[in-house]
Amino acid sequence: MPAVDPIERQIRHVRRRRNLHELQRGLFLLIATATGSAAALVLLALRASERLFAAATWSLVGAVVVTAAFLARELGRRWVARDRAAAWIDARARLRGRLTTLVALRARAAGAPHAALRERTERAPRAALPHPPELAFLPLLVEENRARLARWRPEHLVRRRVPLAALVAALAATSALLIAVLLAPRLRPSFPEIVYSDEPVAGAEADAARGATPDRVVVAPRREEAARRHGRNAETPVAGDGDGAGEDDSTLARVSSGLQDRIRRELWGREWERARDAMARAERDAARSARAGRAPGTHAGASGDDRTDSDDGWETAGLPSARHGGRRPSAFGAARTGRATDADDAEAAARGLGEDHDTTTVSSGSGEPAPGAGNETDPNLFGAPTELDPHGRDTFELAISAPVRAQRAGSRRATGEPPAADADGHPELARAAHTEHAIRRMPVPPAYEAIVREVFAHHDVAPDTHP
Amino acid sequence: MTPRVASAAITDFQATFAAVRREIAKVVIGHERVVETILTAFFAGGHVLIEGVPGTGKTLIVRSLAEALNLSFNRIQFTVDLMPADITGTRIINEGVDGRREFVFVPGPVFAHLLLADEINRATPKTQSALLEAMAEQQVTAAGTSYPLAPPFFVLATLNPIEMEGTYQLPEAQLDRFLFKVLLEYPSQAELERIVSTTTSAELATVSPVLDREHAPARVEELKRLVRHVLVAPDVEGYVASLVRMTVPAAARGGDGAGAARGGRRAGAEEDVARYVAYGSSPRGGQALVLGAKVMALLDGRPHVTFEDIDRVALAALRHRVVLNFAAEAAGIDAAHVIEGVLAAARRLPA
Repeated sequence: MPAVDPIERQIRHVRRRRNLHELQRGLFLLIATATGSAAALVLLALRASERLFAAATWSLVGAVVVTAAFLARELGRRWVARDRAAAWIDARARLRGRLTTLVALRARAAGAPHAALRERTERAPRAALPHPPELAFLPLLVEENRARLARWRPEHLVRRRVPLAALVAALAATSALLIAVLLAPRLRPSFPEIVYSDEPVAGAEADAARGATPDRVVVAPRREEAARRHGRNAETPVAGDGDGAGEDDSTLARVSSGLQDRIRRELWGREWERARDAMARAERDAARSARAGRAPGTHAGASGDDRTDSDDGWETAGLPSARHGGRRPSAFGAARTGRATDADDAEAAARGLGEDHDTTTVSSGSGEPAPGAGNETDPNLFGAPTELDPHGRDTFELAISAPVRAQRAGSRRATGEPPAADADGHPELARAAHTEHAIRRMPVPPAYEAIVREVFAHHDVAPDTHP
Repeated sequence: MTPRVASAAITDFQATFAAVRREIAKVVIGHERVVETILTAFFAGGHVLIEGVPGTGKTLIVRSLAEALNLSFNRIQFTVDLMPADITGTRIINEGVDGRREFVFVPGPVFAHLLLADEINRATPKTQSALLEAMAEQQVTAAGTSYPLAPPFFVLATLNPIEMEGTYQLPEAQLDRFLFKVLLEYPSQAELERIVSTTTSAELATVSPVLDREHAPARVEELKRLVRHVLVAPDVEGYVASLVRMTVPAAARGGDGAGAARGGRRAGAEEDVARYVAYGSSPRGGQALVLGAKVMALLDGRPHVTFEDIDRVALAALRHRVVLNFAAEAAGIDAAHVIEGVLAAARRLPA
């Protein structure tokens, strides 16, 4: 009988090529589905509301799961198992059952009583191979199959090693994801300028239009707490820019909300997060004011009730832009004296000083030294608290907005905030003061945070011990 | 058998088959499919039951086949008073030249290579069974002595679907002895015109023998043996087994519910079988399917059977084995309908 080795070898090759092709196809389609969904998710995270994002997230997750299950089922269906390989090739190459019959009969012959005879004669010259009577046509069948080997070469049955359509789909989806990530900064909404002040913002006014996004948001301690505030602020969890009262507190909603925040944080940076928190606080205060029957733009945290409600001792107010001709709040004197620090840009911490470096006194017109300029602790000394794990390996940014005076010469960048207009009432104190330079932020390992805070903390000292 | 020898044998089979068919076609107008089925049964070693109205060429087909193959041919017209001995032969007292008298067996018409049993349902069951024994055993027993029939032995029995009064319907067990049952349709308009033209002209068409008389029986037997060598894959055998089993109402009814689980088509076929079939095919039906398919494979030049070969002979092999009940008769359902449903359902089932 003619050798069947080439036939069996070719069956194995075809099967391997086919299965590899199907595996790649499934994988590429899965990648296409996953990355396409991820791209949509990124765009939705940046642009959609929390509710819409949650709905889209779980819909996309469901779609991906269903697609994965479908692809797995398809892969199983299209996978050519060893016992199905001959039939599959037979059907594809139109061999009319030749290959299937040959493989099946050889398998049967291996277990038949003639197997011993066959095994013995395998070593004999091919031409002399005897066959059981019922398999008299087997050599002819083998010969026919060998003659048709060229019709079902692996490259004929599975033309491409790589499924191009699936690959293109995967690449397209991956490109879409990359484009979405690259475009993310451009999709960042214009947040108001965040100004941190260590003076209460009583008297601050918001834009006349209720509900309009203010141009600036000032974050300041409440009047009563400003004096006794030391150390870091207790961070209050701030909701995102969701819908407030209508928020869903379910696990699914929390997960989707967390995902959306994470995407935004990763793509828009930490500044967005701070702005978001400040905005949320401002909105909350505004809502509280509205409930209390006050004008929406007025200081929200000034009343006793609000102080009672507030849980962090900070208040936030939306301010109209000075550039747009809005009225400047009186409480913004702190900023005018250089105490306001823009969280985005530390240069802003000294910009008022820079423009007013010849009037280096700390008075804000009332004759009082600026908070922290002397022996008073700056309540916003370390800036906004970090969210980093203090035991982790990451670093955090420590904002040091101590009331220092920059002695740098030269022109300064226009900051939009004018320096303090009043002359220093006690220049002798300023002369006796240490020359300090603005040190705004520095990366400090979280493990050192407590130490740094302790070192930089201002402690009350007796007036006579002051130089 | 080397590939070259095997290939030559298949080619020879194809040539012989085609030559016989060509010779028959000279005198039998139309009925190509019927002739092919009869030849298939002949080379598969089975017998054929033909159902057709009188005058449609039943006798002519068998006579032409005998002439083409150069084999002996006999015809028996079955009647009510036909006795078994009239078929098998009888012992008579023969007086020799020396005056001694002895019983001598005189072979009946069954002793021929090809036998036409015309209107077999008109004879009594006793007479029918005499023929059926000869068909099954390839021998005749008379007065305790068995006389083998010379191979090849091929019976082509006919049934007249009209004038059923006074007939004896063949029992299912006897129907089962026939490999195939074919229906001889009434000729079409064009075929009828050709029949009229051909059979009334001055020059009548004649059949030329394909084989020489001396070697014809051995040659036919050789071809029949070749058919048996055709290879059948296990999955094709499984397909045949499923097909046969699906015609059995008990299997369809009792089932394991697999039909419904596997799809509506199979469930529909099982429902038809359970509702309309009184008795399903016997295992002989499976043998008929495989043997007929082997001939089909050789005709196609293949040394192996395919699913399509099985499908091609399924109707002829199962039609008389699927016995319908009164519900089917009332609903106008025939066996072909049930078998086609079973075929459609079983075709792609895993064995």
